[in-house]
Amino acid sequence: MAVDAITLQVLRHRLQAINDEQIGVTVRTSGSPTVYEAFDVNSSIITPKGEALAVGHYVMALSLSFDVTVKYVLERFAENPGIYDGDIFYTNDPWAGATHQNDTVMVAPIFWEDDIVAWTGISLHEMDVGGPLAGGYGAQAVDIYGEAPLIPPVKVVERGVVRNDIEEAIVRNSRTPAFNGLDMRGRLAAINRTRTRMHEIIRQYGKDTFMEVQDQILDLAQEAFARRLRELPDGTWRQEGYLDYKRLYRVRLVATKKDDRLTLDFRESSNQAPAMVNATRSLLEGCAIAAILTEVCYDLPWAPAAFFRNIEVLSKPATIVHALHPAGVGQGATAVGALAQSLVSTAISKMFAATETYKEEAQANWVPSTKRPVVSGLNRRGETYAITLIDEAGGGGALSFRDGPDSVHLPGGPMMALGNIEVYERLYPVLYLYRKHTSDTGGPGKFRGGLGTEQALTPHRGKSRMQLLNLAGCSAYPEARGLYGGLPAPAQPSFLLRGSDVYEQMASGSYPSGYEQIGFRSDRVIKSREVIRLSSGDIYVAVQTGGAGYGDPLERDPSRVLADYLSEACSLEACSAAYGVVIDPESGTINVAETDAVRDSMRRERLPVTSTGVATNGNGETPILSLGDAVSMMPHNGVPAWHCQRCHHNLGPASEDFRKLGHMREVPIDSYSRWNVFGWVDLFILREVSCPNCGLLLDVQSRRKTDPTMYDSVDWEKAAAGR
Amino acid sequence: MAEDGSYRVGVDIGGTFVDCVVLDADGHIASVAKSPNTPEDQSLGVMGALEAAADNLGVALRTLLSSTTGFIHGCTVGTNALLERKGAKTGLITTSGFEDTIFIGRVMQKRAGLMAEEVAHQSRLFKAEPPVVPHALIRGVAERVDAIGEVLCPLDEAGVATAVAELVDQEGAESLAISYLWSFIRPEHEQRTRQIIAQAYPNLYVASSHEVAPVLGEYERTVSAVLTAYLGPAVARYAQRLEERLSESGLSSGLLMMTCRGGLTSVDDACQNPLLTLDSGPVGGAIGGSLFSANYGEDNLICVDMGGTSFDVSLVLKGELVLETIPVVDKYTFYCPKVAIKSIGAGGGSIVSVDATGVPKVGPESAGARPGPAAYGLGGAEPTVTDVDLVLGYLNPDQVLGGKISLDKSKADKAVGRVGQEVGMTTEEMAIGAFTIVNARMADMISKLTIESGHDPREFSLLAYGGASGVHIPFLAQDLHVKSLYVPDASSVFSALGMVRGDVIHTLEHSFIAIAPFTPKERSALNGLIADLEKRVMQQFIEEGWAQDQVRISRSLFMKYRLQVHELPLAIGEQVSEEDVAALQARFEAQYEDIYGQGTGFSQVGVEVVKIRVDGNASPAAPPMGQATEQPVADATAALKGVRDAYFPSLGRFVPAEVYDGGKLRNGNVLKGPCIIERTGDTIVIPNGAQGEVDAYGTIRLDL
Repeated sequence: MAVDAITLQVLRHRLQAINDEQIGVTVRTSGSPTVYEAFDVNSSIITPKGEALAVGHYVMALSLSFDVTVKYVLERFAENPGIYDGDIFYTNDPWAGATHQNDTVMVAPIFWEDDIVAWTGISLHEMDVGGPLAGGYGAQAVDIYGEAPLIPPVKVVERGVVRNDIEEAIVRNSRTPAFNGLDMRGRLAAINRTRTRMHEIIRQYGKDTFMEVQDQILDLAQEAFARRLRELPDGTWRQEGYLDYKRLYRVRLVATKKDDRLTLDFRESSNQAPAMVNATRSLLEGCAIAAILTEVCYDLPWAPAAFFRNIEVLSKPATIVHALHPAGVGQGATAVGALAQSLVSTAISKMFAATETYKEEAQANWVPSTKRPVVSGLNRRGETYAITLIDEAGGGGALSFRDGPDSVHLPGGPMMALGNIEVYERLYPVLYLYRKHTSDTGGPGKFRGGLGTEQALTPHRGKSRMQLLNLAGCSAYPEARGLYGGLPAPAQPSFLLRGSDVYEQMASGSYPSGYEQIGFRSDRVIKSREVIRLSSGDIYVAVQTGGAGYGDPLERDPSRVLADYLSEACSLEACSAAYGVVIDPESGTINVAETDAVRDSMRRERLPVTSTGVATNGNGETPILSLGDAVSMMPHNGVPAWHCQRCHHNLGPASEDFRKLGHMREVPIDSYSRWNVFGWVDLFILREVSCPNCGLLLDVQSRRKTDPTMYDSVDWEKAAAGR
Repeated sequence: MAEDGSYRVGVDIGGTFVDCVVLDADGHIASVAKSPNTPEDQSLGVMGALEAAADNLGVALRTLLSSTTGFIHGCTVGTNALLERKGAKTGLITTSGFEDTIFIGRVMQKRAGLMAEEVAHQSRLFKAEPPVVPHALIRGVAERVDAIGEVLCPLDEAGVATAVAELVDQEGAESLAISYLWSFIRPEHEQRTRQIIAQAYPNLYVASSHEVAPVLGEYERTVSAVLTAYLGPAVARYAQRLEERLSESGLSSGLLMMTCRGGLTSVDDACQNPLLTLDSGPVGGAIGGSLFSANYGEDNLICVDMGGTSFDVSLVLKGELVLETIPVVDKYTFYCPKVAIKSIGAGGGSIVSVDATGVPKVGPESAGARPGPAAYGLGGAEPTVTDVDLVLGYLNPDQVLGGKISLDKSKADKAVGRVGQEVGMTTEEMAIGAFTIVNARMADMISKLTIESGHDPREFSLLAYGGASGVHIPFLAQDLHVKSLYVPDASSVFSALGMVRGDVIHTLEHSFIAIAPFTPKERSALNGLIADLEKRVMQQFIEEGWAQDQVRISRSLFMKYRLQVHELPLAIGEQVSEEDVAALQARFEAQYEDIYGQGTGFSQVGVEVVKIRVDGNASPAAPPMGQATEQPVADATAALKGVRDAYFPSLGRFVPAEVYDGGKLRNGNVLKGPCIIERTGDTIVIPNGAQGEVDAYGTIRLDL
């Protein structure tokens, strides 16, 4: 029996509405600023078989692995302790569907008479779930045993009644037990409401319709996704990112799209780290699908299980993307998870860029790594506190037609928010000296990446020193990948300033609103994921990087560069070093002649020594397809070739990746942004590929010096024929 | 003309039209008029609507205005100035180091107020563009207060003077906002800054964050101050121009403005607090709803307005309009207690199409008034909800809208049929499907809102107004199992009608943090604060010329579980007694579980008070609703004008439905479904199995 399209539309909308409502209740009843102020929460509705049917728009990865939790419960606990109407299971185990231990999951079966007709689940970030390091993440652990304890799924609510013994066992380990307890009650309220709403549907439409609708939601979403995949070129796209945690790890994605199938192969990634940064296999899948939902399925119903029918994720056990117990996974979500997600984004954007329909969807990387202080100690009343302060924001990636947005969420969390400074200062013994957009954080390009923020804080009126975990990655190298000559967003360093003069300065009436205005006894760079202790007057300065650029920065309209200078998005030095635009700071105007000269000379520097420097004219043909503003494929009497879009120089046959046809040179990473100066300038390099004739920048990759360049292999002729 | 020559006039500016309603001394509607909106100077449109209303009455405008004792106005000047970025050139003075707070916008600025479908599209999430205050017009000054209100860094007064001079003289700021961290608990720095500005530029418009929004959260507080400074001069200029025009034309009584708070206020107050005028348009209808609730004894009422492009819902709970405190306009969230009105893109102009999964959908895109529905023949090719209503026989194909646009049913058939073909449906099947989908989306919205408030739709009655409501709401009201459905007379000018009978409302809030049960000292501090707020509210009424005994005061304590942030209001008496204190926690917990369900409370963390609010209401001498004069007659035959085939879902087919002329219906007339009532401005469909009854006020009540 097939449900008619109208009933399907009505009930699909209603299930999404029910899912949104349960997040609403959770947020309104929570006492944790991580939830009510920053919205680090999400929920999902699952079929009885464990297929994700609807997912919320909050921090998406949080609720993209509930299928794993449901299957875990079904496989192990169906007989003992049994699964009954009104039961709710709780877990924070990343091998059972949690993203990392702080993200606690509650899932519940929805019964109708004797049968399970659906599951629902809500996950949120608890401020503390125990373990040696307050606030979680396990930065100093050597394996999972040094991180927050794992709680595999346990029945915390039995037939509608909270099990006091289980609840106590869960919150007993936490430094913030009352908050965790409150969050549990809030989710109980939310799940009860979902159950009532689903029962209303069944009463009105019947159980058969309710079940049939679930199947059809998945089938139709799958078909639409398959149609979209068929619109993209077939080929293989390779990209690799890095992760710094005591040593350097790599995550490599080989993405292959053929017909209506997408394979995301992560098997060449590094072996697992001892602790903290690894992702479990379910987290890897969740982060991959988070990118697919927001970037490919933005106009489709978000039914993740449907899309997985056409996606295969490959990984090797005991690697950093597929960690095995007892490796630690305490920060998996925002470490390897976020990185894997950004790699999927890059692959999708390159596929999109090659199509007429979707080229304006292609977006350079958003900020690929979190930057947050996890602070703990005793507050001014002597009580224990532990909190991840969600207080910084990175930038969004540039598009082919405009700059990326400043200060956005990590990709895949569209509803997230930063906390107000006042909210954090009221609840925790902390004083923020400034929080502002900071210049030169956006990756340069014809269109530049959006800006990230910089902030400084010091402990204030606490009864103890403040322990601070620098929950950051990509501190020492540019990671966010640009497109078609757009540069990567720079490294995002953090700094420790000991013995500052900020209180004295303030008392005397001057206000230290920037790093350069603070006096201090000593300063140093803080490493990714380092734990430090701060006394009042010691300052933690954190820079979060921006989004990556799109297109050659030398092609950026000089008036835009001037506007960036005037709005402090770009320093005077970067205007010249990255964009070749010379500005007179006195008059605030562009020196046109010098700008032309500097830009010419910068383009010449990109040319091979043997270059003739003479432009070859285009042959007047219409391009078969174009990639950004970099290269176009010309028919060339049946032997298609890549041409530079700026000078029409014939780069070579279209059967090759254009990156192999351009001229490559290596450039120090500190050449374009002041933030890279604090990075591993000896270890990393920018590989630039330019048109050998005119110097148009076609592609830039930030690589460890000893690592190979990444190339794509795409059947361009077939792609062109399909248009 | 009324015997004693006293009128009450309401003028409401909508998207396309200015609506005017004139009540006579007995409270009867004496005249209703519409005139095109004049966005470049809204006061012209107001005068146009007044001329038309005077014409209807058969008197000169001067005669109408000189016998008018109350003039109530709802304008969109503030909303338009914000949306079109035509406010005053505004400068912002803020704590050094936090100049970008309004741009960072807590990251969520890029999605604030968007629908779920839009939030899903990551590559299209951008901040408010352009920002209301550009980078060049923001100055940070040295000053810092901490979370317990201690001054860490004194205000740099010389720096303020320099900043002000730069902003005004070099950058050309016409208006200034001041927003410092923690100013709501320690306002001295903002107060001193205002003095410094006043010394140099005594006539400059200035908004301080601690006055506009004395609440925690620097982003929302800064936006509140900035929008106030941005909109204040525009609203003031408009109000002055309108007052001049009206007084030239003979109006001698005072002008009252409608606010988003759900009441009326003086022009001075609206100019000082222009946020009150933001998004106040749909509020007129909600006010009408709350009055309706009182007059009809319907304590719990869902008020819905389905118009051309959107479907707006507000709630009356226990006789009171439900408020929200952090509204969003054009991606800016700010602090301003406002009637909670939720909107979705579902109206007569919503477009019917096929989504990416091959399933029919309705909206959120709209064909608007131009090109409008396919049946208008103005070039619209896409089928809309109005076309669907025409295909299904609900709308009269021979009617001429607003005396100008005639409907062409064949164009509607063709457009709906074309989309049907894409999914293998006949024209009728497609129309039935689209009708079902749009009704379900509206029903989902209603459920969400009532459930959020802890109630089931079954505990409510529905009040439906707006041009498209009469056709759609009766069907979805059946599905929601509401108690009954009311469609008022003059439903298309219901907002203006609500306004004209609204109360003047002044509200003050103050934070007060104490854990229940209070100590005697806390209780006496609380009582002192309540008395003080009450005095200040009363003072405002007295300054506006009200007598003390005309003002009704109510007081609420906002309570929450400790650790939580979302609070619930509890009504309290003049003073809080010891017995009250003892009962507070239990009252709060009962209300909490009422909303979130049994067993969801968390007594062990305790409950606390966070805020007090004092509301003052005064009713302008609004005449009562006109009294019934006719004897009720059940038989409606006199109004029967014909029969038309229309589709009735519960019968699953088209059946001949009797069509009645709404203008000829009389008090007590009973109408059995299936039938159709055609009135000026709207059409009401009574479904099979339902029954409608007309009352003395022309309201049609449907029992479903």
